[in-house]
Amino acid sequence: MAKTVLIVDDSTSMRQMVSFTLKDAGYEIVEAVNGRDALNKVNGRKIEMVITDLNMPEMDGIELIRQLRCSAGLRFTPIVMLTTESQESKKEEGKRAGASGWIVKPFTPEQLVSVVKKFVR
Amino acid sequence: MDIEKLLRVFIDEAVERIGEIEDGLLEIEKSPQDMELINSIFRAAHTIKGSSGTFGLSDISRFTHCMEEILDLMRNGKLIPEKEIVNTLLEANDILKEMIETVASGGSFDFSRCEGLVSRMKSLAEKKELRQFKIIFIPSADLFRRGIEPTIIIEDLKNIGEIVDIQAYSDEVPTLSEFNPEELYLRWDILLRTDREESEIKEVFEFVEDGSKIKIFPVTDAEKDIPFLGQMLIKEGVVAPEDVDAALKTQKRLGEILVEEGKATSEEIERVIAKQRNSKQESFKKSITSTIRVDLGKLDHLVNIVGEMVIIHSMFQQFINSNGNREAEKLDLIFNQLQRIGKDIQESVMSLRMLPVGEVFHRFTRLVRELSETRNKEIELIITGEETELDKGVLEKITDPLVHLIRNAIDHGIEETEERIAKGKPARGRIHLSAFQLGDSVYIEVEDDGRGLDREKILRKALSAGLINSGEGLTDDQIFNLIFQPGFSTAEKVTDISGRGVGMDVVKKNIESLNGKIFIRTKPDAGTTISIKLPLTLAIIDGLTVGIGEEVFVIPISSVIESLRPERCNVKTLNEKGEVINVRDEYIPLLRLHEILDIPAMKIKPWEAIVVVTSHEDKKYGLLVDDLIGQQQVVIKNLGNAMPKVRDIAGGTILGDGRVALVLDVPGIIDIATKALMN
Repeated sequence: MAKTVLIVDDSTSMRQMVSFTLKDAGYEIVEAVNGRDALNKVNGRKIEMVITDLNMPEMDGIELIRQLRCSAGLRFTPIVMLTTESQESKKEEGKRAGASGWIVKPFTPEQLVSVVKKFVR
Repeated sequence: MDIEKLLRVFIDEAVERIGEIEDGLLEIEKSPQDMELINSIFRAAHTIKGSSGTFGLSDISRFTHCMEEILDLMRNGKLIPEKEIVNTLLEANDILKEMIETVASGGSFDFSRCEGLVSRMKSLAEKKELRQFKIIFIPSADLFRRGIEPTIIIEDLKNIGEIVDIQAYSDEVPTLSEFNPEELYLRWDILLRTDREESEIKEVFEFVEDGSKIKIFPVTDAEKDIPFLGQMLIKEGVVAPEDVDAALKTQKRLGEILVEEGKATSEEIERVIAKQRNSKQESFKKSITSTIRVDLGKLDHLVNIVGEMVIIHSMFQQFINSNGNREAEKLDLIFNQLQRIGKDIQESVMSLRMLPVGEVFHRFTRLVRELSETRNKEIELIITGEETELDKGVLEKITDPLVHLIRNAIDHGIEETEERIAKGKPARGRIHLSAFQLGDSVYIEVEDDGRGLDREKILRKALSAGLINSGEGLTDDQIFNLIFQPGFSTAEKVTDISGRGVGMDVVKKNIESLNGKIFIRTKPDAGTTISIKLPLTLAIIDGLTVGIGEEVFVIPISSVIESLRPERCNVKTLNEKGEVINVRDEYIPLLRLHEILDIPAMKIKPWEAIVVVTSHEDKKYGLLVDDLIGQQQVVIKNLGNAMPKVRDIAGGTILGDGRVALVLDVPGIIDIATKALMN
């Protein structure tokens, strides 16, 4: 059974790049455009991992992580944030909120897959 | 035969060998485990190296030496013939062919061409050498809640090397009533064999670093200490020890031989020996002038002053926190920097009191040698982490307990030689004395590869000594910990080594007096490890500040388990036991601190006050206080000579708000209270 990864990013190109790479590596993909959209989409679905951007309209990544960590189904699910070099404090905030790991943008498809593999097999 | 013809023979042979190397290298990719194949390639390269040297072709000889080194590592299993390595060797072999052809045609080969290749080969030989690392991984307890699965990390380690040994320790797993299924209580010791650098191993732990304790250190290969020829000959049974001694006596010193042969006069030899002695002394002086001796009193004074700086810092912090305005925010920023520098100063001053454990550790080499002789057991002592530093005070107090533990390991742990052989273990027993720092603690471990603790024997002994009424319901850990009970000794006959059962309880008491903890890990026939966890320093501790009446006291955090306000129905008075509180169905004696310290309290009823649950010698005691005030680092100062030694107070300190508070000595208080109860 392929594992399902939820990708949350308001940038279409970023979402597509991540989605394309991970589909290629054999994962099922669910896409969401912001935190609120993501919360709607996880409902009733089995999600094995979440990859989320931090800066997004309506509900940002940090708040999404907080909410997911409170929900029964995703308390222990790996959550990886997409950060940039300049977002050190955001990264710390995300870690405190319960993020499992992070990938610094820009990254190569290989780097993405190797980070994902650190959390789901 | 003239030299031309000889050279011809060499060239023919070399060409043949080069062909063999090429065939072998192509074959090795398919069967990398074929030792005979690797050996034959190695021999071929070795032959070319040797004969080219003989013909004065030293550049070719040096070049083949580089190839030979890589092949040698492969031959010893220290280097895996990966594609990159095989390709490099093939490239080198092609160049070698060209070199030989140049020799054949009488031309000269441009050796600068292969400089890059040579340095690549050298780095392959250096970098890819397999090393062993010990990894201690104490994951943060909240790992599951951060969506991280620790076993995946261990899987990842397999991608960068071979896990030679892995052990999970469950000694921190609490009893079922205290067990939280969302917490991670395990820790792992992993032995990894890899050709990667330490930093690459560290990378595997990238996402778990926060809150986890991870220690990675290279393990030195015991086999590197190759014994002297004489020792080996004796071991192999070729000659008797007397023969070696006699032979060594006939051996002459270099100086004597030269004098006899008339190459030098004895005066000349003497003069040079004197010079050698001088330079030895010089180098010794050099090695010691990098240190300076300081009076301990001066050092303690400095520690005190820095301690006061720490206090001023907390005063400052409190002040800023209570004055919330815009200015305060700015001030907070500057203050944070000051605090960081302050912390640095504090740490480096504390480090002045630190001494490496090596000096104490090396004293044990002698002890082990002497004891193993009297007990007729062959035992070697391995020491690691000797550069680990401990507070001078702690170090002094740890020596006696360590003597005890090592004696125990020799006497009870390691089996007689015959027994070891019968079990299929190496005849020579091993004791591994190690030290390492993890976070704010230093661990010292005494590990033997002996028979392990005998669960049944301990149980029998504890029953007959009346330490327990029955073994039912006791976990293995609880049973093993019985050896720390006063009056316990499993030695069936008293020996001159490990004493008469006045052992482990004293060891444990000593460690606990240093705010340390002691753990046992043991496995039948695999050995026992006694692990001692010590605080880095005695002078600064984390304290819980509590209020009783008008007074403020500090309770060292290390002895606090939890604090709670009991329900009225959970406070009971039992016959002979005095007051107790029921905490999750466990009855804990209630000690009223205001009575013990003889001061008025504000809250007399436990259900209106706070109970701080502490532990002492594996038993829990509730200390009744009025209020919890907070938690802070405190610098303990002794009360000075004017005060007689008081059992219940460990020292004094100045709090963040400038008030003076006494630091409670929890074991002392429990002692006083239990004695009073008995009377």
